[in-house]
Amino acid sequence: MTHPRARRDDLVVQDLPEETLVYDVARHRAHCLNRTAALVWRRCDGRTSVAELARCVGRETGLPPDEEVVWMALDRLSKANLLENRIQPPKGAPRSRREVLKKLGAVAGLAVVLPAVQSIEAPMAAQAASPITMVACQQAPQAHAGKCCMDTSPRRICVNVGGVGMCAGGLC
Amino acid sequence: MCYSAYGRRIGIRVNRSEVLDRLVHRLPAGWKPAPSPVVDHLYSIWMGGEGPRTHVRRYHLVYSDGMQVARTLDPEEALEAFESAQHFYVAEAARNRLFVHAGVVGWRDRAIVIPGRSLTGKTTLVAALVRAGATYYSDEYAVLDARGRVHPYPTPLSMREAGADRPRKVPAAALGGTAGLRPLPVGLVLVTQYRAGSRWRPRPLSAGQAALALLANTVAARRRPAAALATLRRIASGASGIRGPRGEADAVAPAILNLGRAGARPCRPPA
Repeated sequence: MTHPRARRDDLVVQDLPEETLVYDVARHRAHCLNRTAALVWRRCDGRTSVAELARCVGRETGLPPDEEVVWMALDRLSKANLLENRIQPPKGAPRSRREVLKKLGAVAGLAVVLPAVQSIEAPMAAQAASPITMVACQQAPQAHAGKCCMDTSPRRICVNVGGVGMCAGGLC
Repeated sequence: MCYSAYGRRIGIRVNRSEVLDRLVHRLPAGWKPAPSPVVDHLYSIWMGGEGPRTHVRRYHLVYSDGMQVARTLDPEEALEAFESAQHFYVAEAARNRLFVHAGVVGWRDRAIVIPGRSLTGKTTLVAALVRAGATYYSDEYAVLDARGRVHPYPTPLSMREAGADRPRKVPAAALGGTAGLRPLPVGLVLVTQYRAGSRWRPRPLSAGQAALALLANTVAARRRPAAALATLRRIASGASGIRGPRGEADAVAPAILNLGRAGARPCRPPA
């Protein structure tokens, strides 16, 4: 896929001076795109080629107009499900920041402008609530499922298994 | 009894009227009596206790809109379950306010917001900041309006102590502090958790990272993502952000307040 297209549906987007926040309503994941990643994402209209994207990134960020940088951004955006289709970087393309930095050479400040996407899973309401006791989880599993049990070691999430409450979910 | 809080009308029905007196101080900050009996959410509390016959155990029961929240022989535990459930409902369903699970103090006309999951040491740090001179806003929720200001939610601090069955409720005054009364803009977003023996060497957070840290603790993140993101963007644009593990709360509190003294600088991408 050399003409990537950005996803536009089911997304909430907010721009910061140097970054872009994206909330994926379908997957309940939130992403923070740095300036370079956001620039590539905005230009992915299905008509612009990777080579053109590289020239654009070079103009706007001062990075070398190298396709490797664009492939890196597309890889990050694809993993965050922010493109219409999954992309597969060409064979031999550097995948990690370290590899890209090595290829582009050590330039001051380069690491900061390389494309980056940070992601989190939005919490379910119960996950952002106060913790409960194991007894409360057992007594009222429907009400407390998803909350953190404070008195288990390690602390685990209260789960409702067929009406029985157990502090046996993931670590919290 | 009916009351309203944060745009929601809530009803409580009890089997013994004297129980209502014990519930009033457990209601959310800023609650007001509601004249209408029509409510958005209803709690039912059945206090058991001594039965008419010996050797009969009568449980204390708490229901939230028909869903059992507690069934216990300990009346205090039942009332705590009601309090917790009701605060959680308000946090999730509030209109025009966004609840972020965080500790909050006021310092020099700005708020320091410490988002984090439970048991990361928020309350301990908030207590230390209050002892160091900050104004108490909340140890549970940062209540944010659409302009990105934090409103006070000054329930007593819930201090957990080793070996104790349940947290001890400590008012800010008992720490030598006062509770905030007016909304404040956010000056600092502080992402930290206690790690024994850690040196306090915080690193800057970018605005986007600060917004993500707040979103990760926003109760209604999934329910109202557009409103949440807009509010958090506003906060992150005007506040500075730092992160890092901390050691003992009383040791780091002055350093944190010193950051506030230097004035809030907008978040920048990390170097």
